Formats: sequence, structure tokens, C-alpha cells
Amino acid sequence: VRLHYASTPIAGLIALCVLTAIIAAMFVVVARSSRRDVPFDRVRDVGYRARRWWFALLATAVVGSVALSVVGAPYASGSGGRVVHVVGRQFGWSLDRTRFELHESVVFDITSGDVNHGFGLYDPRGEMIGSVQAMPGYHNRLSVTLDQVGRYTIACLEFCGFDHHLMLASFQVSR
Amino acid sequence: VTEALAIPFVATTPEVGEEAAVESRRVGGLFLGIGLALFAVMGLLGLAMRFAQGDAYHLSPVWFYRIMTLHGAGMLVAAMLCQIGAVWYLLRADVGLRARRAVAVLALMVAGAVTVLLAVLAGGFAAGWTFLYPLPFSGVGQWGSNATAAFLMGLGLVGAGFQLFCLDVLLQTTARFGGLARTLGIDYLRDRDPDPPPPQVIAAAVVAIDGLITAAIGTLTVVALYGRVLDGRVDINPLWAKNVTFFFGHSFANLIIYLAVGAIYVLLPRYAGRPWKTTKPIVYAWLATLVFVVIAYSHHLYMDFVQPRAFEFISAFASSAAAIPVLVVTVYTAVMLIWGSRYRWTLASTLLYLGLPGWLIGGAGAVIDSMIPMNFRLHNTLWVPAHFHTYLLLAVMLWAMAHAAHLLERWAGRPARRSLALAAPALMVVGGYGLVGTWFVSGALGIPRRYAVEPFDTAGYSLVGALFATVFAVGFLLLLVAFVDLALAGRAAPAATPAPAAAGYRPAVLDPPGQLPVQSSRRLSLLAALTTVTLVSVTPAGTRVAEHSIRWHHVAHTAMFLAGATAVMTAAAATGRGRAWLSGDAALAVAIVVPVVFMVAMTPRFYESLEDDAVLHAAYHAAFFLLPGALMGAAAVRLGRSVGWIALLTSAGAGLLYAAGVSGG
Repeated sequence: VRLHYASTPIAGLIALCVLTAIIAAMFVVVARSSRRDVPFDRVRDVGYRARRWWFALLATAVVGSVALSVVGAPYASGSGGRVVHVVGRQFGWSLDRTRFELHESVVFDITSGDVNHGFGLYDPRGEMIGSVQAMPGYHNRLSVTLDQVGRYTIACLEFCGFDHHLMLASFQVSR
Repeated sequence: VTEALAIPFVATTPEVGEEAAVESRRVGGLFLGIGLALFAVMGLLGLAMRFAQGDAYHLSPVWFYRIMTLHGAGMLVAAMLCQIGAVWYLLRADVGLRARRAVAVLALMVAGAVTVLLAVLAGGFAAGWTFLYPLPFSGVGQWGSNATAAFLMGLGLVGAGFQLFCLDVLLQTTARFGGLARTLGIDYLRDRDPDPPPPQVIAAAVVAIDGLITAAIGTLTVVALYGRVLDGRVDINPLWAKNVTFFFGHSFANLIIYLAVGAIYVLLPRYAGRPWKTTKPIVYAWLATLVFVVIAYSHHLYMDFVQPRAFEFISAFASSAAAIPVLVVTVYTAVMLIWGSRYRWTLASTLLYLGLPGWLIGGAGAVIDSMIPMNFRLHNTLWVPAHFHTYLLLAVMLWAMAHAAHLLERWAGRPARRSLALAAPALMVVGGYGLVGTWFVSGALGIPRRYAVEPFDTAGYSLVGALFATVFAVGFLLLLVAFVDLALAGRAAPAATPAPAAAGYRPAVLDPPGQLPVQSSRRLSLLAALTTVTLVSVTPAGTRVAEHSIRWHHVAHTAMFLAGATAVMTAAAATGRGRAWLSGDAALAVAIVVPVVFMVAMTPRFYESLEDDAVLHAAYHAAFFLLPGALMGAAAVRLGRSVGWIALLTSAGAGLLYAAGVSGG
């Protein structure tokens, strides 16, 4: 499979690039200003006045980010769709079904037979769908609608020992 | 520049000034020297991993994961050593920290690092520095229980060193500034204290409090897993283990950054020529940080859907809100101090400046990943090493180098050569951002982290990253050349001894009188009541409850520990004595060792054979719970009102948490 960017992480990457550009530009401007001689009282007056607005802006951003977390969290999954049992073991995955139909809603019930593993799922286009942990003694449930024809890939996303990088599996979705 | 270099760096009274100056330079230099040397070695290991992932040569996966374990653990120790040295050096001006305790901290942490090294190289341990249970016990033939034991012991020693540092910092700051409320600036907020401590003291005290909580949970984690080494029947809940392990790991790494910030409060004003004074927003910011650090770790468990939902959302809030104190107070004020200040650009001040954007950009990467829907796609991808390398490599380590450069430029009495002062930071910035940039791009693409062989034909990204890392290494090499040049210049013409005390600094109180943990009669009766309640654990009724389940058994043991401690504290408070029962050093040793003893004693193999004999069983309870408790009580009395209570509550809290997650036998 050849990887491609999914929309959520690419949004994150773009946001990071924009923020990095702003931060870098700001530090270039500050460094240039340091050659001049501006009375500290003046810097302080302007700085303290602007700080309130800055605080308000950031507080709003924090509220926004928490709201995104609450609304967009994948935790509601686990209902609707046929349950597929997934067990991770050093160093492979066993699924009780490996053939699915297009547009089928599936609930992966994921656990581990030994150590912690991570169930990372990639669609046939190579886009990362998401991941959920496989922990011994616990069952994490993840709902996915299989909207692509082709081979989905599972990669282990929690370090689990010397063949961790070989812990890959796949399943087929057809019409 | 010469003016900036000439500012006295230890500004105490003339009597202690010179001695303290030499002492702080030696201690600071020792920590920074060892820390940077360890950083260099671990950096080379990192380079070796990156080239192997880039397919430039073959490295067996077995060795890749050993190196990965060593690189992670070693780098954290290196960064922590550097920042402890920096803070020690700067705090010594205001606070009577003890040099021999600093040496003990160093010895413990270095011994810990060497033990981890042995566990990995000789024992083959390769469960990652995050050692998520049960992986340390599932090496599939690659390592055995001895290697796991050695690794845990190494981490325990590192934790003990950090705990000792935090205890001494909190002891000396609260003694120097008169209690916790004043040291943290709370009295100043309530308009009861017109003369608050300087910001670096508030920062150090906040780090020390969170550090003691972190160290207690680190000890708990290590002891629980060590119990499993001693007795295979010890059963640990994996979700509980993940929580305590990540609490310890996350907070330990996070506190390194906050330690470094305290150092910026002192160094930056020297080059900007403007004072960094304590203001109310600074106090609010640090009190918020005190809380955010200990409630943020659960973002490591976002993808464990079985984790209590409240933990996840609290963490989502704390992880993004933690940026506010940084952006509204610390970096904002730093920028105000530098703006139009005719900042003196030396090697040290350049590195100091360059660390600020590194902190913000790494923080931006962290906040993006702390949003749960984003983490769903980025969890354990290369985005993770991308963001933490940004603030650890391109902020914390740049600040550590700045600190070493500051010491050496002062020692030489002149700034570093201009060519080196430009080339070294420039190469490190280009190389460093190139390295983390390739990781960010790879992470967004969904490439998993911690793969010895990169999947899906993505080795090309690693190769590009490795080349950028090489550029960073060349920059670091040039920095070392500048350091050697300065050291030689300093030896040829030692800089003048520090000038007399700067105005406005108060003398350090070298031997604080301290206060008993309990002073009012109301509190004394509360303590006596607590003793009575916990003593129920040794009565027949208490024993019956303890037999109910293994969990209640551990709770009863913790209650016995608490009973021993509070009984001694009650006696001390009632008689007004007790300060002389233990020396200061002995009290610190007790506070570190005793929690380990009483938790290890809860391993079934130690008590099972005694259970049939009532006398032996009672003796076991007396020797391993009541007596350690009593010792802890005596230590708490010696450590005084603030530190004594924190030491007691964190150890008893660790005992209760142990009961929540460990069973078997």
C-alpha cells in the first residue's frame, strides 16, 4: 500500500505550518527590534494593554479545541454493525472475519492476548482511518464503515517487542 | 556584551557570596558537563537509528529496539541533569541549596543511567523507555527477568535522584521565603506579602511539588513491576499500569521543560538589561501550571476507549490550556524584555533566544495532537517524536547549551568567537528543524513510530531526516569547538571574581529553623483522630476487613503505615519536640527509601509463609508497616510544615494507589 494524506492530519499539518511561519516571523521581527533602543516603560504599557486581548483570544482557542475533542471523539463507536473480534499477539493479528462487503458497518472488538498493541487501520487508498489500543484484559470497540473496495491494512501502533514492525495484517472489501 | 558578562551571577551577601559563587559554578558545571556528554552519546545513537530506518545500512531490529530504549531513557536523564544543574546554579543565589546533596542527586542519577545501560547492553532489555506492562515480562527470548529488574532499578535510582533534588529545593525555598504560601506567591496574590520571591523561585517550587508527586508515582510503578519480578503471582492491572507509567513518564519529561523555564527567568534579563520581576500574572500562571502538569498525562491513553471518559476530557482541556501560561506570561514577557532592549548577542544569549520559538512550535505540535479526533489519526505515528523533539532538542537542549556557554563565556571573560557563535546555532537550527520537519510530514501521512524498518516503502523520509540530523551534529561539534576555545581562554586568564552583592538581594538563610508540621491544637486533635482511625487496621476488626480481598489487604497495610507516621507526628506536636529525632539528611533518606520498603513488603512471597503464625504475622506488620510509618513520621517532623506533609501524603497516596492496581498471591 502507498500512503496518502487523510484530511484530518493534513489539516493539522497545515495548521502547524501556518503557526510555525507566524512564530518564526515574529521572532525575526523581535530580533531586529533588539538592535534599537525603546524605553522599557513604553514596551510595558503597550504589552500589558495588548495582553488582555491575547489572553481572551487564547482562552477562546482552548474552549474551541476542547469542544472539537468532545464532539469529534471516536468514543461513541461500538453500536450498530456486525462485531468482528480482533486479537493482537506478538507479532500478528487474528480477526474472526477477513472478507467484507462494500459499505458494511463493522464494530471491531479489539483486545490483546499478551502485551499492549495498537490497532492502526489504513484504507485501500493508503489513508490512515485511525487507531485504537489493544490491551490485555480489556476490549476497545471501534465502529468503521468500509467505504472502499480493496485491501485494508492493519499495522501495530504500540511498541510490542522485536518484531513490532512486522505486525501487519489485512482484510478484503469487495462489492 | 562585556557588561552583560560582568553582572554578578551569584548575588548574595559578601560573606556567602564568593563561596556560593564558586560552589554554584562547580555544581552547575558538573551537571551540565555530564548532561551534555550523555546528550552527545545518546544523540549519536539517535543518528544511528535514523540512518538505519533510512536504509543507509543494516541494523538488526533486536539492536534497533535496544538502542531505542537506551536513547529514550538516556536522553531524558541527560536533559534532566542539564536543567537540574542550570536551576541549581541560578537558585543558589537566593536559596541555600546544599552542594553535597546535589552531588548525591548526581550520583543517584548517573548510577541509574549506568544500571539502565547494563540492563540494555548486557541484559538485552528492549521494552522501550515507556516499558508498558506487561511487555517487560514478555521479551520473547530477548531478555529475562534479571534485565527487567536491572532496568527497573536503574529507573528507580534516577527517580530517587530527582526526588532528592525536589525535596531539597522545596525545603530550602520554603525555609528561605517562609512557608509554602509565600514561596508560591499565594500570599502576594492575597495582598499579604508586598515582597514576593523572584519568579525562578516560584517556578522551582512548582516543579518541586509536581516532581514529588511524579517521583512518588514513579516509585510506585517501579515497585509494582519489581514485585512481579520477585513473585510471578503478582498481578498488575494493565490499564492501571498504563496510567501510572504514563503519569510518571509524561510528568517527568514535562517538568524538564518547566525547570528550564525557571533558568530563563534569570539569564534572559542579564542580556536584555531589564529586570524580570514577579507579577500577579506570573503567580497565576505558575499555580495553573502546577495543576495542568499533573492532570494532562491521560492524552497518552486517548486511544484506550476503556479509560474513564472524564480523564480524557480533563486531559484534553489541560493539554491545550497549558499553553496559556506559556504564551500569555513567560514567552510574552520574554519578548517584552527583548523588544528594543539592545539585547547583547553572545553565543549563550543567541541559543537562549533560539530556544523560545522551539518551545512554541513544539507546543503547537503538541496542542494539535492533544485534540482527540486529531490524535485518533496521529497517535503513535511519527508526529509524536516530531513534536517532543521540537521542544526537547530545539528548546530544552538549546537552553542547556546556552547555559554551558554562559558559564564558559564568563569564565573566559569574553564572548565566543563570532564565526562559531553564528555557525554552530545556525547549523543546529537548520538541521534540527529539518529533522523534526520530516517527522511531522511522516506523522501526518500516518507512518507509525518505533519501527526498526519503516513500512509502506517510506524509508526515504528517514534518510532525509538522518541527513538533517547530521547537519545538527556538525553544528553541535562546532559548539564544542567554541566551548574548548573558551575553556582554554579561561584557563589562560581567569576572569575576575564576582563583584560584591547586587542591591536588592537578601542573604540566604543557610540553616533555617523550620517549623513542626502541626502547630495548632485543632490540627493536633485532627492528627490524633487520624491516628486512631488508622490504628483500627491493627485491631481484629481491621484484620477481618483486610481478609476480604487482596485490595483491602493492601489498604490495611497502608493504613498501618499511616498510623505509625501520624502517631509519631502527634507525639512530636504534643511534646513540642521531634526536630532532633532525625538529622536533615537522614530525614531525606527516609522519605525516599521508606515508601519503597513498605510497598515491596506487600509482595506475597514475603508474607505468605508468616500468615499461619500469629506472632510472626504481627511482627511482620510491625516491622514493615508500623515501623517504616513511624520513621516516615519522624522524617516528616524534621522536614517541617510543608515538605513533611507532602512527603507523607505522597507516600501514603502511593500505597493506596498500589492497592488499586496490584493483586495476586
